[in-house]
Amino acid sequence: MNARMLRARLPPALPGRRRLLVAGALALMGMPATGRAAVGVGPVVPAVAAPALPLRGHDGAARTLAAQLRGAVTAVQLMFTGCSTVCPIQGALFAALQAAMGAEHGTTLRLLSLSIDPLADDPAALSAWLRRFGAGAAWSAAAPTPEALEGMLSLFKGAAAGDRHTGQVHVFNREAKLVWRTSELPPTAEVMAALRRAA
Amino acid sequence: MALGLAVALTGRAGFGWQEPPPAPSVSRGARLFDGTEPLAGTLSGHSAPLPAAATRCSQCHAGPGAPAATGSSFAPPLDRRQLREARTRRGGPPVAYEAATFCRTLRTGVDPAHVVLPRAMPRFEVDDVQCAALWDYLTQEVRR
Repeated sequence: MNARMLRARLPPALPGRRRLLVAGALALMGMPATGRAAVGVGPVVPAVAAPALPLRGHDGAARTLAAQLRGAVTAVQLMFTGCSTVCPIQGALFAALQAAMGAEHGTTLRLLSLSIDPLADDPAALSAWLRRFGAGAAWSAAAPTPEALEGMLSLFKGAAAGDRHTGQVHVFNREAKLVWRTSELPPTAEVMAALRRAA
Repeated sequence: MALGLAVALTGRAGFGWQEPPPAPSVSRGARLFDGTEPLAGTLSGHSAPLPAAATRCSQCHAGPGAPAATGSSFAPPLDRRQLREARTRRGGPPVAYEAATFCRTLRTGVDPAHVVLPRAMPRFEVDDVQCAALWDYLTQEVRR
């Protein structure tokens, strides 16, 4: 059963945003095992290429997920700006990670906060979220188009269920391939080690 | 007796009768719960404390007297009933919180059934007075 079928089964009274989040979560639960990337914490073997899913960045620019990730080792977190539970912690963790990256001379590492709420997280909301956590030039945010959410979630294990979305950090190499998953809400040192490994 | 009853009735139902102010520790517990007075907390396995904006109890928990729909499903509501009744939590045996086990849970992340809380629940650096204030606030009797 795919997310489109699930969306059709959801009560029409559910607001569009909630329908989208619920459909995404249900789609993951119903996804065949072969459609999932390697599960668990640690290396993703074989590495999974990021698809060319359309994103809209906090700067308003349209680009694909693959294009966004290509060219630099990137740590990716899933979040949404309306989330008041785990997302403030995720923002604080990326801020600490940004500081650790800054301490490494000549680093080309990047951070990406990827929203699972494309209906609410427009460039203005994403920009405000970045400002809230003191994001610098190496930290960007983006949201998929609503139609691309299902494809984006299939890339991430246990990705979305509203407030219960994953707090793992996903590390992509320069070729925009997912190569490592951290633990839930990982310490900075754990993410830095994964980033160095992918560099 | 009639006079006493009349005084009691008028005193309770109107003419400026007011709820007594909450005990100071309850008021302080409310401030700690909603983050007005910040709490220091660190995630399990992390070395640096979280900023105060990420450690408010009310981010994840509904507090005493909150409507059932308030709060998220991310974390359980916290009130007298939830804490004081023996309940099965996180797969452990039925157990109720006591003030001492509540404080230990805040500090160590291990609940009264010896089950470790998820990492998203910070380990708080609370002193005995802060902890007692939170306990008094959360376990207060709430008129509905």
